[in-house]
Amino acid sequence: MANVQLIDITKSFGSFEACRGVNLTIDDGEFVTLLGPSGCGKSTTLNLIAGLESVSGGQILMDGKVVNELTPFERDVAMVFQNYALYPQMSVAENIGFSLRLRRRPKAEIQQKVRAVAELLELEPLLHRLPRELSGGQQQRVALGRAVIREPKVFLFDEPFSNLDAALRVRMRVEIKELHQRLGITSIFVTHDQEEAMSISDRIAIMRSGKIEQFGSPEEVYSRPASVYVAQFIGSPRTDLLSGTIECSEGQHRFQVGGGAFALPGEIGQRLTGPNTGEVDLGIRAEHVIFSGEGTPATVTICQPIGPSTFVTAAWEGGTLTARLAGIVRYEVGDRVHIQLDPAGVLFFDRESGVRIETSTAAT
Amino acid sequence: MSPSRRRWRQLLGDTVVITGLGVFVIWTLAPIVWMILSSFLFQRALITKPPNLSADSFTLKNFQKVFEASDALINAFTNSAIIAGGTTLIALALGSAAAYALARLQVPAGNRIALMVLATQMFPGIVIIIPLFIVLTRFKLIDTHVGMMAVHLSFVLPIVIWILKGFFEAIPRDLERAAAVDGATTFQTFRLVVLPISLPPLFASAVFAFIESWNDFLFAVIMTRMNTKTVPILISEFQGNYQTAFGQMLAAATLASLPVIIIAIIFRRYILLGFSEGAIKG
Repeated sequence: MANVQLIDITKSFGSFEACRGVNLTIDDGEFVTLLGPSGCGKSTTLNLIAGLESVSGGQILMDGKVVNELTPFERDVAMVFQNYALYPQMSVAENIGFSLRLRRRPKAEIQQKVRAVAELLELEPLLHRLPRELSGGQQQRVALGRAVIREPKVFLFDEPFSNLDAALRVRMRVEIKELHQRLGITSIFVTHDQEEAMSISDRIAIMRSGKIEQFGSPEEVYSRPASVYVAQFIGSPRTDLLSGTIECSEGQHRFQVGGGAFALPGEIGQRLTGPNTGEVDLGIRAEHVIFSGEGTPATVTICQPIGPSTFVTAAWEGGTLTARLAGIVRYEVGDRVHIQLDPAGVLFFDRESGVRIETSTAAT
Repeated sequence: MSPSRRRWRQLLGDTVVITGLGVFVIWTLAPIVWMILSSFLFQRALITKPPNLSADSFTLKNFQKVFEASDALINAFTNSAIIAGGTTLIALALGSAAAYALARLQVPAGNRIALMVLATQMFPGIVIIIPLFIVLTRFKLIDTHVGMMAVHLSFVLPIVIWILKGFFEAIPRDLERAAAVDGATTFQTFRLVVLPISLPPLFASAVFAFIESWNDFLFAVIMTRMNTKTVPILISEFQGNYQTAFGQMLAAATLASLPVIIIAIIFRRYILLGFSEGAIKG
């Protein structure tokens, strides 16, 4: 096990900057996910940590030692690749034991360790098969086995589930989580799937254009996103965003958007009525949008029952919001509803920078 | 488009393709069939116009005559086998290493080097034959197996490099990255991971190299004397000053083709696989 530290990491490919000053501290035994859309620099960051790419600037430390110049093997990392990268001509047993063969370990020791790993990952009946004779999930487990047998300081996972179907992906998620709990090895996981990241990580680093936008626990990034980008990237359906103004009359603060107005608790309103905060963006997740007898009147435009809950989208002049209602609820297009916002879930963002404005009660 | 019209278009397309392929196959095979057929004909039946193909025109005498000169035949076959086999092995060893370096390693001016390798194929052999002769003379390699291998490598090696380079470029990089993470050096990755999965293009290259070397006449006629006379040279010697023994010449040519045809039949699966993978992904 090891802690991993990235200090001002930059990486350029010609004129393209894939990483632009990445700073990250990952604790010993922690499970951290690098999350972001395609091209945000998350896989490049992982390759830099692995030593498969060399940094253009900055330092990578493992257990306090700079490892910039070390090979992947010298860094003692193991990696699971997106396409599994199993050696096609080798059997499952040979794939798993390849790193030990390279280290010229005795055959008996290799066999014993391969068997132990196969038992751990339930691969024993497959040991003599070739990779092409395995299903996607089995291949993924072999790739895991190849990493586990090394007993490395750090596990690196580069979108390992992206080629699996939805059901298998959920199962593999559980298996990786259990494996991490059992072995306790520092793990860095790359994915573009926010649900996957939320479900398995101790902390998530959300990346955007080669930088880390926010690094925090799943609860933090979900409930207290640092920016509009994070708020809309995390969570499904994505956070609704309304552009409006904070207005105050007779001591009562409200958020005015088009023809709609939403009452705000006094302390939130006061924090937002400074010289630069009159015009702000309001973000709200579907579970904090409430249909009630009073509030802004709106017309239902879409109703999507998905089983445990129903997403109902309603619009008024100048705005649209989606509410998550418990169970299956029937609304017809054109039905009239009244919308209120749960103050605990209201997020405010600076309109220019997109950065979240801290309000005392918005924090949970 | 209506279904019946689509069917007609499909039928027309298939007919054009099949006819084209048929013409190509006949064009390619006709000389070979004629060579084999002629090797069983008496000289007089062969030179009459049109050739006499009646049953009493066929004979095994041509082969008998060729086998009567068995020492020369065995020597020529041995020389051809040594030169073609050696050329093939060296071409594979050097070609695979060079191709991997050009495909994967950061070779300075790698693209230019690869183009220069290809450019050597743009000159007809006759252009380099005099310079090569002078070089081989200086190194006392005229009429030696090593000299002939060196000459054959000059036109075999570039093609081998390009066939393998195309294949190596198509290998997923993650395989080599996985090997690096597992602790393999570049050479170990090449030897233990890349080469074992490259058998089809290696076979294809080997067969190509062997055939090219085995069939060479132009360089062999200039660079060999008595010691390293190859099969194509032996065949040409059936042409006399006053008369050409066509039947014997074609019988010898048929025998000379056999090893190449046998190799091609045995490894045809690998040859097809090797060339198609290189062509599609390269």
